Amino acid sequence: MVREAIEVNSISILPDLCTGCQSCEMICSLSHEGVFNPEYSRIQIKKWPGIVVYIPIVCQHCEDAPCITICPTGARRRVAKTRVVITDPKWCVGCKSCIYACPYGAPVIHPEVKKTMTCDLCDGKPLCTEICTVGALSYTFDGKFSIERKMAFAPKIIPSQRFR
Amino acid sequence: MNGWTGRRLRVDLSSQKFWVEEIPRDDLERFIGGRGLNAKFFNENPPWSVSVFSPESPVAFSVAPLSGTLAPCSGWTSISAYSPLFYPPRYVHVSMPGHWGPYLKFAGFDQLILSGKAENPIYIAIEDKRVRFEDARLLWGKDVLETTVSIQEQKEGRNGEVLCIGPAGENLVRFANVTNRLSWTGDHVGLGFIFGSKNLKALVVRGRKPVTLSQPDRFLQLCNFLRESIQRNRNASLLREEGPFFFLGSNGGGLGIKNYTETSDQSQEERWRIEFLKKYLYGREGCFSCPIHCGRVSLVNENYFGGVHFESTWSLGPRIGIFDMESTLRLVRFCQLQGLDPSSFGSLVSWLMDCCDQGILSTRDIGVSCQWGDEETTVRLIEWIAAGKEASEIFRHGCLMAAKTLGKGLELVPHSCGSDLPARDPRSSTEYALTRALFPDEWDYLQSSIERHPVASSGRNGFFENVSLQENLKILADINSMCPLVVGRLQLVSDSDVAQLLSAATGIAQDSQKIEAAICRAVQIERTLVGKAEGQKGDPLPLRFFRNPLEKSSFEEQIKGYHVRMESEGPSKQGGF
Repeated sequence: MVREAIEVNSISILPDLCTGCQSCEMICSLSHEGVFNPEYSRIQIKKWPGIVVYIPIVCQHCEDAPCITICPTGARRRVAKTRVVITDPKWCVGCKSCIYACPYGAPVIHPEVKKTMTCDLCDGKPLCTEICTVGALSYTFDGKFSIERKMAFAPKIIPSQRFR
Repeated sequence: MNGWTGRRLRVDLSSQKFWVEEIPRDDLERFIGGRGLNAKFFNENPPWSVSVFSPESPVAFSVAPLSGTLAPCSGWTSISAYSPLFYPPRYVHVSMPGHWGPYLKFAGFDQLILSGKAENPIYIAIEDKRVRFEDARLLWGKDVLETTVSIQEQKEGRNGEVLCIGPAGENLVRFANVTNRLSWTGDHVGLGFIFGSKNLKALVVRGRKPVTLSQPDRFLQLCNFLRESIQRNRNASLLREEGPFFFLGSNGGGLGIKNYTETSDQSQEERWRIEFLKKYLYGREGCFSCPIHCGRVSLVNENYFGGVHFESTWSLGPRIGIFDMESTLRLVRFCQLQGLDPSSFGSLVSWLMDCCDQGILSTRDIGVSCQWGDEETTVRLIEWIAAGKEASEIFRHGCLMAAKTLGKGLELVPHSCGSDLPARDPRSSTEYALTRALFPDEWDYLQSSIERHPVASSGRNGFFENVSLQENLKILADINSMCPLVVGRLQLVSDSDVAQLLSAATGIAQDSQKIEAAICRAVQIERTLVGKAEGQKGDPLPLRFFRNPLEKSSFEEQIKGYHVRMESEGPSKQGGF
């Protein structure tokens, strides 16, 4: 059997760099809905002001997407070419099952239409990753994110290898 | 309507009623928003007989068409009120950074006017043009952190922004402030006192109203261009790396140590800056839609907190004789939690310490003896003052009033026209001292430094022109809810940039002249509002900052000269108001 590696790009999040400025929410709501409001954005920042933590949450286009499995109408589906998971508004009935199924509740309910919407990676150039000036959001192939996190951690054990 | 929402929310706490008014289109076009809209409102609704405790005393919060958009650094809010910090109260405007203002826009309003007094402690929840008055008796007494977390986690959810007071405001401390997200405060107007006197614990705003634009593509193009040019700017990069600590040492020294008995030199300031950045800086925080993120997050004793800048650390550091950054940060955090402005509090404590040091005051007068660098006593003072304990009665009103009540130490009070002096020593530069005396309510570090202004320092203009230019840049930022650091001090966004953004947002053609006219109108109304307050404005700068009385007279003559020129040549002729 021939096995072929598939490289998939996705938005990688580094929450320790997020400053909570909400620029990503603004560009997302403007580019997709033509207006500004964080509740119209497919990327949402969750805030813990008491300990100054800001965590961006956005659809990660899971390989085994539970939202696709649970969707009763087939509105949640994967675009074969780009492997992006989207909601087809023609079929979505707004039952919110995808939100319950998602491990971190990424789908957002559109405030007017009342159907869910998720990140569509902006046709291959996600604007939120371009507008983020602190590097909390980047658009990388999935392997690179794993390497980056390893490289962020590895130096912490260097002292035990060299400076005993 | 694009850009603006065109609506003003009026809330009466006495009757627990609210209603929505349309803001006349003409007002929006002529005053734009923020500071200008506030000035217009107060001019049309002048409570001339207002007393500090009068529940009718209104508070106005305003934003601008660029608020709640991707326009860089557009997250500021204008707050205006008759400030209880002065006797009699006078009109004061302050701008507050952070995230609260854009959420007022998302709720569907350009302006919020609060009046009246609630019978019992309440908080107000504004959500999409609906206003709820919620019981806050269980929140009363909680510090700012507990209040924000309780409201967000137990009642309103994390999607809203909370603006609340701490125990200091509840106990009617005059220099108490309001806090948003624990990092951004509305200071210098006594807003904590005003909220406390109205039995208002917090204002929570959340909204799903979309902010629409006339030309979204053009607007986005302008935003991207401005954001990129800000990114490339060297000063902006330094501000991003070091936060407001970047200003330490950059003016060549000149902050007040130990109630201005000494002045810092450049190396002292740099040591202070480096100590914070190396040992206690944990991360960064940003205001709404800001590409710079100058907010500093500190880590001290397992506590993470934002809102640390050089003004607050210096005021609770060298200004009161403490040279250890860790002690300072502990004090700053404690102060912030109680809802006390660290800068004003530092001013009070430095005065107390100076008086005790010189034998003017003793334990008998004030109930406690504080010497320079006494952290323990400072902590006790914070507790006393915030809790409104009896022994602290004289301090609740600020150090000028305390000095007048005690009848001692008046000559040592660090103030300008009744406003506490910021960290910078007025003796560091005459131009700075004059600016301080002319605009005592402004945060110093937000103002363009006259010495570094490209036009002002060229020598082509005189003092009057330079100071007017400086203040106009600040007002340009304030009427557009933009960051005065970026627009005024670093001048990364010009009036023509703002004009283009406004045109694309609102669909109404704007140019530099129209914006200048809006600035002039705001200035003229504010001068009228402040001028009509009874009583004198106060001593521009105490005698001890001068070498001799003659120098002080000459200083006061220059101030008078500025006001005379303002009357004859100032905005009244250009604004057409």
